[in-house]
Amino acid sequence: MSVIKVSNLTKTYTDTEVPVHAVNGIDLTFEKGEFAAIVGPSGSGKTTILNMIGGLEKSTSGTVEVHGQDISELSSGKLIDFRLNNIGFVFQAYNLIPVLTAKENVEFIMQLQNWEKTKMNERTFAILESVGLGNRVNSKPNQLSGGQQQRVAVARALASKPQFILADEPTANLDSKSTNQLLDIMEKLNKEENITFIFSTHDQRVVDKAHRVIKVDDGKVVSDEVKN
Amino acid sequence: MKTILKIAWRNIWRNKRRTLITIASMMFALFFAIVMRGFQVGSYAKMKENAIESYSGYIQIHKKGYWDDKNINNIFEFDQQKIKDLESDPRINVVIPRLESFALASSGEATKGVAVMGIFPEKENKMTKIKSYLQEGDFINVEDRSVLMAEELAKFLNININDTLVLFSSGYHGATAAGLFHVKGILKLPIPEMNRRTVYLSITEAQNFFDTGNQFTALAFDMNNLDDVNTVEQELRSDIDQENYEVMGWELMNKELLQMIESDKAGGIIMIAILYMVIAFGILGTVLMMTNERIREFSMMISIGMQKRKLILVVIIELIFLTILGVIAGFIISLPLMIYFYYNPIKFTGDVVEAMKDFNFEPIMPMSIDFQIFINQAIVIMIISLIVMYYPILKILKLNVVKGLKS
Ligand SMILES: Nc1ncnc2c1ncn2[C@@H]1O[C@H](COP(=O)(O)OP(=O)(O)O)[C@@H](O)[C@H]1O
Ligand SMILES: [Mg+2]
Repeated sequence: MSVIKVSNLTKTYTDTEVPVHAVNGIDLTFEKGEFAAIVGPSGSGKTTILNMIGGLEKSTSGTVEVHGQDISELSSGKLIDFRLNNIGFVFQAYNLIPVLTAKENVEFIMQLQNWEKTKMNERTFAILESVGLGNRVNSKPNQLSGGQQQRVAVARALASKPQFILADEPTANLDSKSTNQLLDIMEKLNKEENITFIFSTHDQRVVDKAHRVIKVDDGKVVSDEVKN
Repeated sequence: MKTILKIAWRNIWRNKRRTLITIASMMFALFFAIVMRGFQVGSYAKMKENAIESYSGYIQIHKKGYWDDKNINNIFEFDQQKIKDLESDPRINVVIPRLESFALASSGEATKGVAVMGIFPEKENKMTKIKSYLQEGDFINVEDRSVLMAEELAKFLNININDTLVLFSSGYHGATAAGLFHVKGILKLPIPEMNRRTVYLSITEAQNFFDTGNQFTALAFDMNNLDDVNTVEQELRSDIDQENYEVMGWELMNKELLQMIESDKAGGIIMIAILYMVIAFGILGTVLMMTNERIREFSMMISIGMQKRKLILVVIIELIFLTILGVIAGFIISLPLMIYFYYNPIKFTGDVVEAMKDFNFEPIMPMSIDFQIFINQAIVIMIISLIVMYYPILKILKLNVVKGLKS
């Protein structure tokens, strides 16, 4: 079974002067372990698609199924728990809780999931090690560079071993060196942990790293290629 | 939970200056409120105590109608044995019979209307500690024909120890009462009003003077414990012939004093309320900022899987921390001052002394360190916090995470 199955998904914003068809009937499936990029110019609907897949936003029509479960049927409280237990999120910026250290940020989700302390510790150190921040565990976000912060965010998203990770333009605020570093880490973890990564971008260098490239424009999928 | 506490604690220190200002404002509000209430409660307690201990006692029994018509004809006889029986009740300290009326007092050219109190000197002293107010001369005993005079009255009449005082009044059933009395002692009484117009003499002398025979105007009860007053009052009422006697509690007898206290208290409370209002807006401002600048962060936390109720718990705990710190700081700065003034009450000097005496205030400002004062003010601050808490709670409940993430 696919990890995610999106069927005829649409989103129309009607609280605007003229209705905005942000997403226009999209069908997509994602399998376990994919490393997929949703690519398109600004305003093409990438964020809206990811938000609907992540259960942050309700669709106007169509369904999002995660392991066969239609998430639009979940109440908002259930949806929060669903996200907690199934989805890792990486946002463009302001991903981290400012008052917590890198280690505490990574542990945050596992704590909400009531992980056992030693297991959580082990996992935290291992994952921070693999994003290359083994020596920055006790740094607060404001003591870390933008690239390091995004690596902590990836580590946090991954630590609890979710079904998949959604990353909306994770590199948009990064310089090219940090961008490459982050993508390499994401790719490595995708392989090591066999976790599905779906990220959006309009940056060609990022697109080049993706294993599958879904091009969107005007809320529609215009091409969907798997690279070898 | 540990994480929630940790996040909340660190959050309040994200903007140290703002937090310190907020805590300081709570601290000063508490400080002023506590100190002011301390003086108020202290003064009121002192006034009540003075009124009870030096005059009314906790309960009095009179001939029915006496209190409203303090007439020398409204008197009664009361069996000495019964008084002894009452005094054997462990709740009652002493029962003191009095014969009290008015007279004109003169000495030389000066004349003044005075209150004449016929007392059992030693017994009276058990309740009113009247001996301790003796400024000059000696105390009287039951057989004495001499009198004790209040200090200001003596001054007014220009009388000294061993001088002679003339008392003139109308006695029982219209008899003429006149007498010459030798002044044995001068008392400085704590109630200014009494200090201006009281003459004490032994009860037998008073009974002779007013020609009342073995009768009294009042039996005043001194209690060992304030808590027993109401029950004893009830018991006396049911024991006693209600047709002929009245039993009155101290609150009824000191009605004017209590009314004055109430109105003074109301004035103070209005001032404190205004102060708290200002502080409430200060706290609200802080909470508004603490909430609105973190909308994106809240949205992120909910997005990644934190339930709104946990997030609400975080902001509630933040406010609780702020409040607790404010309250502790307020206690810490007010306590030493309160304790100091408790042991060294402010004594007024200068013109204000006369003004206070005119209002029947003793010209000192005792401090109360009743813990209830602290608790009450802390509760007010907590209620303010509780009200202010609505803002972040509603904000989080209504939060749209997608919009919040884009903000
Ligand atoms: N809350 C909203 N209300 C109205 N229009 C919106 C809203 N969010 C997004 N849009 C519109 O939907 C379209 C797609 O937006 P978005 O998904 O953010 O694109 P992208 O992420 O590719 O830049 C844009 O035209 C945008 O203006
Ligand atoms: Mg976007």
